[in-house]
Amino acid sequence: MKRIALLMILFAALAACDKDELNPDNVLLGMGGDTWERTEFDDWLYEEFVLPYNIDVKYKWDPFEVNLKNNYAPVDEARARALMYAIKKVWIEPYEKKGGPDIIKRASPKRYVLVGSYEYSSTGQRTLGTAEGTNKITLFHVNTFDPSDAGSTKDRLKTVHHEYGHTLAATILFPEEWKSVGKEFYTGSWQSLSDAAALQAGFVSAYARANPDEDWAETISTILVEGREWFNKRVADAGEEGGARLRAKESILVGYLKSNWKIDLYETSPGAQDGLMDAVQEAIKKLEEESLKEQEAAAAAAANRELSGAGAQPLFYKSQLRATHGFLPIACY
Amino acid sequence: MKRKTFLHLIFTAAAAMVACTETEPPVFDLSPDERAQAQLEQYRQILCGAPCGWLVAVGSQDLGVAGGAYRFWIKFRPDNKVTMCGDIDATTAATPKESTYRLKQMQYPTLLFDTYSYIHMPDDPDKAIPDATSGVGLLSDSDVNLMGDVSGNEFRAVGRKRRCPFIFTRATPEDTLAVLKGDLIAVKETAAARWMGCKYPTVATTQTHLQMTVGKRLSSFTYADENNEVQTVFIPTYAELDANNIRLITPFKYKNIEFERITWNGTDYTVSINGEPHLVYDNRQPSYPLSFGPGKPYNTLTVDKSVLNSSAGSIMVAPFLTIYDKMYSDAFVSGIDIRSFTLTFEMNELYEEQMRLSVAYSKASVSKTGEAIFKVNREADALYLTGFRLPQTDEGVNMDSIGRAISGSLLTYLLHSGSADSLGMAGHRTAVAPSGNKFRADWAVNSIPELTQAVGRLVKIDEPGNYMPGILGKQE
Repeated sequence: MKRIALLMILFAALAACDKDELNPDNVLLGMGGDTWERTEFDDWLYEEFVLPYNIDVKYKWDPFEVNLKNNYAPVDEARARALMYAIKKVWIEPYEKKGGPDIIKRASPKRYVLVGSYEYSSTGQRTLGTAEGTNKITLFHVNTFDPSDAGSTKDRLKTVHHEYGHTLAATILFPEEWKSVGKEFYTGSWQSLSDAAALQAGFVSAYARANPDEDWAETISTILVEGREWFNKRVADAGEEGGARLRAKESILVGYLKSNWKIDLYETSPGAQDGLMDAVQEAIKKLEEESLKEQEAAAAAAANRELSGAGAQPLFYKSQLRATHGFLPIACY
Repeated sequence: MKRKTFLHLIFTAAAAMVACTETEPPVFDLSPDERAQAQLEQYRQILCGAPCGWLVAVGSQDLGVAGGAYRFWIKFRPDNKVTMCGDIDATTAATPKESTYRLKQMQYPTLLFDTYSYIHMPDDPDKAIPDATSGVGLLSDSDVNLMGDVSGNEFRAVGRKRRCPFIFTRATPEDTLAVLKGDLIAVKETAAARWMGCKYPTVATTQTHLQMTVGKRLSSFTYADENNEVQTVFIPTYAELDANNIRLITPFKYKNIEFERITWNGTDYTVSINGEPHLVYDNRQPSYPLSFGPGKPYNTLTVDKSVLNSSAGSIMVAPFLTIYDKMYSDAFVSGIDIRSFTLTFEMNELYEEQMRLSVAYSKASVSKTGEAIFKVNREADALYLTGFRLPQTDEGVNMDSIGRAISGSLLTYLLHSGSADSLGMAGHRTAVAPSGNKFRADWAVNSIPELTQAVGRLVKIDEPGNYMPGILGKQE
């Protein structure tokens, strides 16, 4: 009995010493992540990505978002704006148009991270994009994105559609039969194989030979971004066996999108051009036209400024203005 | 036993209670987070508090063609915007570019230029600078760790990833005006032009002779250490905007020599060592020992009279000129027009040192080359040649012609002992008397203004005034 009493005293003594009170007045700093003065671009991203889809776009450099061992360059803000606009036009809008207004809300990655340069491996291999699960997508090499060049748009948006292909499959898995079409050609050493060899085996790219998941994402993204005509040509070039495999995969893909997402990959009747592929192709074309018009307008405006003697570039910096006019700035701004 | 347990419990309880008593007041008034935030805010105010911005220099780790110091003018604004110019090229130097920055508490308080601008170009793995390396750029930094006192007109910082050195200097209105005129590039040219004609800029102190090669982004400093070993230190450098100072990103230090600026005084460059100005003069030859021989920085010596004895100046001394001219005329009689010859010191397949004499000549207006190989012997700092052979010539059938060309005066000049006959060389009958010639390799004074290559000489040890000069080179 005495021993129990002593143990209780000991316990009370120790418990009494615990200082675990939380001061509700303490401010927990940095809980909201990094902050900065919001710009028009931040507001646009919030309106176009965060509010409707809960997709966060991180375009400002943060070394902890990428592999600390590698070297990167941050994204140029103007290129980031152009790319996110292209993503909206060439990925989100076609899917919403064909799959309904909620499809992106129902299944989409929740974070986009933009990086200016490629990601380089120790062997010099360059990466255009990575996905962490179906949550975070990192897009590299943004600083050379040029929406007035359809090739550039296809290059970058193929990565976006590729990653979204993974997201769709993670939400509703593709049919089991997908894995059996040319399964003997899947290999971990796909890097050492050529695209030409992949085509003969019935794959749209060497990377598609990595595994059925990558094959799926490569096939859907390539058809959407390059178009049906391009795909038909690849089928023709693939030889009998390779072409048959590509057709078999195309058929599975068409069925999967229709039965699970109510999306027609191709047009529903000759000339209708109402498939998802058509919508993506149209968006790429329209983006290129828009960008070319903007470039022409900008060139005309610059020429006008030149003619009016204001210089080719807007003089946004006051001391530059003064310097141009030959005054010594007394105080800087 | 029970009693012992009882006492043990009592003491434990007492110790626990006493140990818990908090008697020390907190060291800091604020929490670590609050203090870190306050520090960042202080840095932000200092950076934004420079009304004309900052001149920022960073030194890359790449010491190749494009490596060294890169310089920027950067104006920070409180709204996280930043405007900068950079000395990458004429466009970036005079076209302000707007991007963003933020201050972040990482392992150290860190300045992140978080959208792309000129400061990222040396660090860009996509080769924004053409001579950079794909995947790593110029091994520079663009995230900056801020530490210590940054309140003055100048402070140092280091890169987050590679610890590259940064210097931040508060810009004046005149600096800003100069930058916007493109002076970040122009001052480099001005500073470089002042070195024109100065082949071996040298500073002499009581401790050593320090030779410098000052480039537009990178400079080297070479000296012989206490063991007479040649040491070269590379330091990124840049011209300050007044064009009167070349700044070393990190000071040069050796023994009691330390300086971080090379200053133009209106007529000459000087460095200040221990408060005393020291003139940088043209030594006309390197101030450290020549390292010459197989596997060394130089192993070839090319004798070309048209270069070494031109109307602009001569490095050839009269005794050797006589020998050269005799050799030339002897060969010319046989229709051989000697243009130049090169001595190459190398190891042969038996790991013996040999000297390959390569003669460039023309015969019947056709360019040809021929070789003779000499055995090299070393004795302390001296070398001497014993015997030679004629392994090949592209003349094929007429091997003798080269032998004839060199066997007279040149062979007599070079050989220590042995002769063509003693080596059993067929078709060659000119006797060579053993002369006991011994040589040492040394630099030669380069008195020809347009000759920019390093020149050396083989000096006869017993007749120093009779040396064979030549252009130094390296052949693997």
